[in-house]
Amino acid sequence: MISKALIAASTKPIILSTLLGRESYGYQIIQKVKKVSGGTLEWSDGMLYPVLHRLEKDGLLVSHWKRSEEGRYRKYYGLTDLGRKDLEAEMSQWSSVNATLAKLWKALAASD
Amino acid sequence: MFDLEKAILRWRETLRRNESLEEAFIVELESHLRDEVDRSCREGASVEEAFRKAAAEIGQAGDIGEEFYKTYTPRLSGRPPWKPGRSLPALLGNSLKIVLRRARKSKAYSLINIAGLAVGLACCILIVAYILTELSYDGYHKNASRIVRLGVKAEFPGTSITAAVSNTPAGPALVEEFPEVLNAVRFRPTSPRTVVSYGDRQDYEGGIFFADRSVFDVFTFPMLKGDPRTALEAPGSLVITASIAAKYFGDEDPLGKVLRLNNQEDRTVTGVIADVPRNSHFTFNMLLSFESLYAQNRKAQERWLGFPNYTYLLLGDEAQREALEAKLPAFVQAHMADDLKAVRGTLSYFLQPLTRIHLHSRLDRDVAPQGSVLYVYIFAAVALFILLLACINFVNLSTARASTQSREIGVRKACGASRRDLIRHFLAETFAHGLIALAIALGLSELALSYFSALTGVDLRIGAARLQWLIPSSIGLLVFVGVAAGSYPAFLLSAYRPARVLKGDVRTGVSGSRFRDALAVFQFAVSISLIIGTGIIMNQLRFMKTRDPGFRKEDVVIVRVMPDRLRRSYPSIKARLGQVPGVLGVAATSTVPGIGSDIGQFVPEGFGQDQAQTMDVMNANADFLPTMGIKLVDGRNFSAEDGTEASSAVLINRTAARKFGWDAAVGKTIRQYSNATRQWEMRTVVGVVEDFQLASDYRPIAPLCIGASSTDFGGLVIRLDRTNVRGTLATLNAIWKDIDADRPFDYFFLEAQFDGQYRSEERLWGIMGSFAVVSIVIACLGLFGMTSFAVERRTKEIGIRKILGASAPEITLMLAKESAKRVLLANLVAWPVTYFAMAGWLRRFAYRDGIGIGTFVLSTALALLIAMATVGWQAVRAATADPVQSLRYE
Repeated sequence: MISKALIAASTKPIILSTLLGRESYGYQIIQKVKKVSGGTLEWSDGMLYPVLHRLEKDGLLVSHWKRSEEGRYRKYYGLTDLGRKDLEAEMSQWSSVNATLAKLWKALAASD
Repeated sequence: MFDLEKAILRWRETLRRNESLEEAFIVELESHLRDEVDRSCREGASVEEAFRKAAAEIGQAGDIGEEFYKTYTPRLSGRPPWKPGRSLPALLGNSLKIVLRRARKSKAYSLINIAGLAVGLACCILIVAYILTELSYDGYHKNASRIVRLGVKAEFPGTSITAAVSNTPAGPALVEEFPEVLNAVRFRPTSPRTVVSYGDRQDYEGGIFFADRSVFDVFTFPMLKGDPRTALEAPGSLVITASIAAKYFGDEDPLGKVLRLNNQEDRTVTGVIADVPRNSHFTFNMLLSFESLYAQNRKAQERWLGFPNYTYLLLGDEAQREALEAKLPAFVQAHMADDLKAVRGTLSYFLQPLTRIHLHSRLDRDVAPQGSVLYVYIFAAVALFILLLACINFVNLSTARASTQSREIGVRKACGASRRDLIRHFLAETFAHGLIALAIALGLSELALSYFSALTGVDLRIGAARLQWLIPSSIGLLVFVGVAAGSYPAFLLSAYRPARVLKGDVRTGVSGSRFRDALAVFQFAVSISLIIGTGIIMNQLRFMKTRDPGFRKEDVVIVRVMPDRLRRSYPSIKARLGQVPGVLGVAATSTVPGIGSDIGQFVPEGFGQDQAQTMDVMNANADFLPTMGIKLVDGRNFSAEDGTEASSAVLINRTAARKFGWDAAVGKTIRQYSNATRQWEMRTVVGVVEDFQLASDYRPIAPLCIGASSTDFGGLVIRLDRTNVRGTLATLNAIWKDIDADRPFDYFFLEAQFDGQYRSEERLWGIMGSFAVVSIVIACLGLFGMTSFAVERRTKEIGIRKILGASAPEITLMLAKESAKRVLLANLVAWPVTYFAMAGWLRRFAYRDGIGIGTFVLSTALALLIAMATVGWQAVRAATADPVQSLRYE
């Protein structure tokens, strides 16, 4: 069980990372995150969509509607330049934190 | 067969009704839903199951979204923008928006709900204004709690009276003999129509009293000009109110000027006071110095056996009142023992607190008609009832509406709204409705204020006092209504389980709808009771007014003339008046039928001295009987010889003859106690007249003795030709100088005066009628709303029935029958309650019409008619709707 705060903090970088390279729609994002996390991150739609809208409002994402062969309408999201820059910032922050934690835990394991 | 498309359509509809979701978002969610359904089906679930699961999952745990916001978007409240605020004002604002939006969508419901509540609130506001005004009477005096009025309770053989009046020497004697009585004020009323003139300004004024100079020490009448300590000291001095000053003196300084009264007496203005506030148990325009009354005749003010004044005492402490009252019998003994023995009467004083006079005083000879605490209680009860009705409506309509909204609630709950949120939302929505209704109610009550003032006879414009209570009480009212009306739907509805609700499976519960029915029945019971009550009052009024009073009251005018003049010049006056075409008859009298009379002590022939009888007493001349159209049943009328000062001829009425057991009354003697000579004087009965109504309908007709003495005459009775009343009056006006040079022609119509005694009953009728209308309006609003929901809910059922062959009239009947049943049930409650209440009220009348079954039946029929009209239109519309359309609704 991952804490709410942690899930909340990690939502943005995960979304931005997922959309880096190719655009995707809400349902697809949820499925991908579930797969990549090995099931530990099961996002609900109630959580995802508001975040997507917010990121779009802040200019990090851009969206457009696409019609599939079966006739289904889907809203696709993609990264903007601003989003890419933000992702870089997130990556460096998370790396710092991750590295610190890794060192501390290694020290702990060594002292056992 | 489960139809996915249809289900999704329905699902979209419900989401759309959720106002916080934009259209684009819904489309996005639908796409998500479909994807989820596809996936579930691929894993083996049925389409139906897949859909249900997916629909239920949507909107779960928006909490994580909240957390995201807290981290990334430092909004002050940490609250995402699509979620309404948690605080009540924010929730209120949001709900107001929602209410307005919903109002636009379903105008009828909102309109009905708000209208019903507004009407109910307006009534309450008006009634509260009335109650507060009534309770505030006389409270403005600084010494109010220590002022008491001296009243007498007197018993003479055959009668007893409890009166607000007192004798002249009592006040000063009490001040001298009892240290706890600090001061006393006596008021003596004068004629209600006195001619007042200054220069070329002349008019009739009433409200002129003689008063002791201590009046300004005891009461609080701010003096604008002049010195309160000496203003009424000298005989001939006069204190006027600001309005009188403006009327006669304009901008001039009134002090020192002279006003002429009755074209005879000059009074000097020594002071000007502010107008007496309207919330006083009596008001006055001018005060004359009490000294003037006895300046000529000091001895007369020592008369203990006469009660012409209103005396007020100022006590040192309000707690001393009861102790003082206990000491008064000794006081009576000391001063009045001999007088009382002579008339075989007893007398006791009582002390009436000033602040209780207006509402709790039911005394004879009161200085002005007073209100009654009974009305205050009645009004309070009515206010509560109407508020209850309005709240019941609100509750009913809200729950009915909720049952059609239940799916939305399901979605809301599925979207993560907690039960607390829902409750808060409903309460906030109720408040929003309440606020709008309150605003409308305040406007309505402002508009109706003058009408209501006229209706109750109480001036409700007590200026600043109103503002004080208006704000806190309306807020209090709003909270009460909000909680009362909002809590039932809030708690009931938030208990629905979302899955069941999303399925459209909503049963409001048998108990729920039965409760609503009971409330509707109660509403109609109250309305019907009020209608019946109004009908009964109207009946009694009509009965009283059309009853034969024993004399012809139409086309008769009464003119006051000074007793001296009447006594001296009656024959010439009569002759002069006889010359006027249109004058059919003239008579002189001491009092006027319908207004009341004096009473006197009599010892009829055959009775012992200790069996003195009380009779009504009046004096009239020989013309009285023919002019008034009063029948003589035995003996003869007065003759010309009888009309002397020392006359001993009297007429008695039939009731007197019966009471004394006289079959042949003519020739019998009767002794009458004379206040003037303090002797028992012998009279002879010369005739018996048919009973006629001397006083109001409350008392049964009492024995009456009509004397012929002309010393007492105070008025002329003139019967006019019906065909030219106005012309005759004009002529009389022109020639009046020949008859009475001192006063202008001042008359009043006997019929108007006579009917005026019913004013309080007419007022009650007006009030009850108004409330009956209001309550029926509210009940019908409720009925209208309930029916539209019932119809909406049962559209499918109606459609099916039509297809199965039911005709439009049959369906209309079916819908109408249910409402009719409610109304009829309401009667079961209303009839007995009203019967007992009105029977109690009627008991105060000596002559009553009885309560006929017709009134009850008519009222029920009226209520039924109105209810059917309300329901009928909708029923017909539903019955004639195209059944195919109504089935497609699903």
